[in-house]
Amino acid sequence: MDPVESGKLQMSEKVESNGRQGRVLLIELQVREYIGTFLWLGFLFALTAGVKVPLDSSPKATAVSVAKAPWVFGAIQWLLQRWPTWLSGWVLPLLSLAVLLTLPWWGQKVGKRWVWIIFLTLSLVWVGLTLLYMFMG
Amino acid sequence: MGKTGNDSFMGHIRPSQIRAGALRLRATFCLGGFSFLAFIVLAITGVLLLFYYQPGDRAFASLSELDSALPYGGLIRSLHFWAGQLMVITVFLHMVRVVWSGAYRPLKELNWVTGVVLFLLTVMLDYSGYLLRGGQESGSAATVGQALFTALPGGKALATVFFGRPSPLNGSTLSMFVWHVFILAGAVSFLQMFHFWRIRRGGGVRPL
Amino acid sequence: MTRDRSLYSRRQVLSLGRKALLVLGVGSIYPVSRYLRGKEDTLAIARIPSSELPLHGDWQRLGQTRFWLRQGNEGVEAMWASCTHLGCEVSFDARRDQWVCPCHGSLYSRDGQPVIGPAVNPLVRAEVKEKDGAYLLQQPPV
Repeated sequence: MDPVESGKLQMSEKVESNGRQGRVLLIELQVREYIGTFLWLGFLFALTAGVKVPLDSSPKATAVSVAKAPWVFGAIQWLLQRWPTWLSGWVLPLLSLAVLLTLPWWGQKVGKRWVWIIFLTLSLVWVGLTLLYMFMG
Repeated sequence: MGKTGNDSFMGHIRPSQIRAGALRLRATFCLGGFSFLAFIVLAITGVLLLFYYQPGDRAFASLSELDSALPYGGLIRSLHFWAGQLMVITVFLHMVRVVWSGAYRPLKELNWVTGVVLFLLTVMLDYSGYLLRGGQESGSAATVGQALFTALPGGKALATVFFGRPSPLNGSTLSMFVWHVFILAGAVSFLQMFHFWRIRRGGGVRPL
Repeated sequence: MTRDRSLYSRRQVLSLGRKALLVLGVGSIYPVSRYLRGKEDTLAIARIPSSELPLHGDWQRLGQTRFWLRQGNEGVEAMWASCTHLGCEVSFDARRDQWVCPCHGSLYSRDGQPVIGPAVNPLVRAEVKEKDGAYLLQQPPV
């Protein structure tokens, strides 16, 4: 950033006496959004060009024996392979969803730090199960 | 986008000034923006796919024809797939960021709930899209989903409403098509608008 | 609006970004148009196992297609049921022993010769081959 810019931003970030931050023009954000957009689009096109998306097995071909769920449901599929349906498919997912939905109210009871811990634990469990399913069937 | 006053179309969607701290990368990592961008790409490629995709028995045949015989068909299909997977990931990461920065606290509870619902809808869209591929794997995925519903009392009715009557070898049905293309995507568009408006009304992104 | 150098460079980035989006948009017109027109000139084809369509002397329609088949003296014959007037779908009426066009009333004889109506050209035969116990049909080229 050239000195003129940084000086301008520093002035804008100066916290006023009532604690509110200064304001900048929208164009500052728009510029960053354009850059971000093209970076993301570039990544998308790189993925599209680089990794081939397979077609499934044709329904008319001989039946394949492995039933694979899409990765988004990998965690539930992993649970379903071990525990009864009512637990793996309904109780555990809905319970997790309920905790997620009510996070703001947990926050009021136990504070931001504990909410973060609860959320992180929940996320790591679900992401972990998904990865387990993806790489270990 | 030249006009920024509140009477102009673009102006009333974006404020003319924003909090300086919102410019910092670590305020948002652009994750909400990327999620919306993914949705736009999905909507455009999805509409293009609609010109040739046939739900039901001809799903696999129409898709493999699209993939191999149509110019740029494979490209559009791949873009749709990757944008979809990226959307699930970015929405999740966005949720992580929001929790980390505490942006769910009063008075933002409703927006948080809206966001979680949007995440759920995104995952549902991924699943329903997977079923629409019409291959054998989609058939087994549909069977598992159906079984989850029929395990409930009165679940057969729900299963039929959501899945239609898929075959074990082909999960694509007209019902799932309607859910994926119209109901779920429509719900996402509508909730997104509320989600963005709520952030705007609250004065924009508030960094740490 | 102050005109200092930092804001000018921002506007450049923005205008570059807009131009890039415009290029992306305009650039995708050709691929999308080729995609949407991908099946413009493809001819209809059909395949049916002969056991599923037992043939006799009268014209029979194959499913929902425009292919009609019958057992002729020298083998299987197929008709492409498009009116030679303006292309409407014709159907064979067994009681009248004629092909009938619903759009403007053209009538054709059993073998496809125009009898009455705005149509002047006979109906066009479709190509039919028998292979591996199935009939392979192809729409006649324009």
